[in-house]
Amino acid sequence: MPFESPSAETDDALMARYAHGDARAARVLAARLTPNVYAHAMRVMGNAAEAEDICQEAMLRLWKIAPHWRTGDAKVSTWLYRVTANLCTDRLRRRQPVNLETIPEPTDDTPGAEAGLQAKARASALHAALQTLPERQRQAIVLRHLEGLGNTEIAAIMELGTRAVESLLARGKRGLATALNARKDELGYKDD
Amino acid sequence: MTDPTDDELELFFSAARQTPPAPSSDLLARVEAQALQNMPLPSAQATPVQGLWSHLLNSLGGWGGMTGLTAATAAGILLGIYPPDFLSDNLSVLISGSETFYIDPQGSFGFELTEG
Repeated sequence: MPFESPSAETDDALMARYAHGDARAARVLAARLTPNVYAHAMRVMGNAAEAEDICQEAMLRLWKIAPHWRTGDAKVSTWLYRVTANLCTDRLRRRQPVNLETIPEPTDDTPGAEAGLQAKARASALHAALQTLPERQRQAIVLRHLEGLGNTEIAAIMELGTRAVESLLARGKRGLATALNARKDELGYKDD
Repeated sequence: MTDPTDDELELFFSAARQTPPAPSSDLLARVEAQALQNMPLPSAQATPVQGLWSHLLNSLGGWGGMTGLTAATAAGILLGIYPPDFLSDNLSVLISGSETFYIDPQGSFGFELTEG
């Protein structure tokens, strides 16, 4: 589940306390929200330095909006995903077209290795395959299948209708399947 | 060779979910520092949220002033309902409001004032 935290306080409550100068709320919010923002940016961008920049910028926007945050208008996590997604989109549009040769290869591609290593190889292969997708399909796939969000929330984040999200997901999965097909034997599709 | 099915793709998604990219401790520290740097000051938040009641309370001297005012009001009402015996008849009548009194501004008291 996205944005889990051991603290029982809601994001809204922490935002209100932060807006009133509560340093503890600042620390809890930063620790709770940063990992998911970074993970999303990293999965979409495929580059740690850019993901860090986007993460810091998205979190900065959160701190700045905190005094004006209106409880109940939107979920903090949805708002933050939307900001992160938009920052990723802006960056990707300024980038040169993706050169498939530059996509990192899996760190461990030994076929038939133990389960942990195979999972690592699959994760790595998926990461490389994601980078071959058009940006919107990639965002939708990451939000749905890696962040675990529902289509309604994805629609709110991407400012689309749910049918458009479904279409992006279907096309994205087809693209991933094609990209991964070349390595089918190497990675093994049966969970053994 | 056929493309992977949804179930087969799920193996990849599941593997990727198990190893999410984690932010460095350096990034976490920078984000926290940024949060504290941009945090509104506690005093800056007090003024805009002050409502009419708070404003009235403060203008009367806070809860202390409000308590004194309430006690004085209650005492005045009690005196009006049950005037004590030692009050003069005229004053009792004045408090009860049952008769009309006329005050002559040119009377001896007023003369004393003008003469210093």
